Amino acid sequence: MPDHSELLNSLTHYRKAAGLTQSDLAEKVSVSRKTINTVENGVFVPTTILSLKLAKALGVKVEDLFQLPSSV
Amino acid sequence: MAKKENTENLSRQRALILMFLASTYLVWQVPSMDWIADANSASRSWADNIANAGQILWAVALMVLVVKGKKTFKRLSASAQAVMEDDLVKAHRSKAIKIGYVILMGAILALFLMTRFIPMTGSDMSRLIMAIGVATPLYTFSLLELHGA
Repeated sequence: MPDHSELLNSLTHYRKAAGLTQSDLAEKVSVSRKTINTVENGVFVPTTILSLKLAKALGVKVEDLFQLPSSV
Repeated sequence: MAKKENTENLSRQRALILMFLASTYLVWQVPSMDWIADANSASRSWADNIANAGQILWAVALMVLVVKGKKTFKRLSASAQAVMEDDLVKAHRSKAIKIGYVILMGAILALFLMTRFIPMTGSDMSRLIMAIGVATPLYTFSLLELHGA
C-alpha cells in the first residue's frame, strides 16, 4: 500500500534517461535496490535527504523527480 | 556486483534470523505457561522439553545475531553498512514497532476481557503479553524486509 498515494514521481523516467539500472542508482546513493524499487512504485516515500541524493545523482531537481498533483 | 548481492543476502539473512528468534521465543514461552502445568503429567513433561529446546535455540539465535551479526557488519564497507541501514530499513523498523504496539494494546484488552470468563494466572498473563510484545515487531519487520526482496 503506498505511503502517500498523491505523490507523483518521475524517478523511473529520469533513471532510464540516465541509462542506469535500479542497482546502479542504488549504489550511487548508498541504498538497496529494493529501496529504489519501492520509491519508483510509490510504495515508499523517500526522506528529504534521499530525495536530494537521488536528484544529485541524476543531475536534476527534486521537483523534477517528485511532484504533488496541481489540485493539492 | 558481488557487493550488491552480498548486502541483499545479508538483509535476507537478518530477516530470517529475527523471524527464527521470534519463533524460538514463542516456543520457549508458550509451553512454560501455568495452564500447561494443570494438564496431566505426561503433557507437562513434553511441554517442559519443548520449552527447554526453545530456550536453547533462542539463546543460540540471539548469540549468532549479536556476535556474528556485529562482526559481519563491521567488516562491511561504509557504503554497504549504509545500504544495510538505509531509509527503507528504518521505515520498516518504525512500522514494525507501531504495528507491534497496536497489536500489543489489542491483545492486552482482549486478555483483560478474557479473564472475566476464563481464569488466568498473573504469570501466564505476563508471559503472553511479553511473547506478543517481542514476537509481533520481529515478525512484522522480517516480513516487510522479505516482501518483494
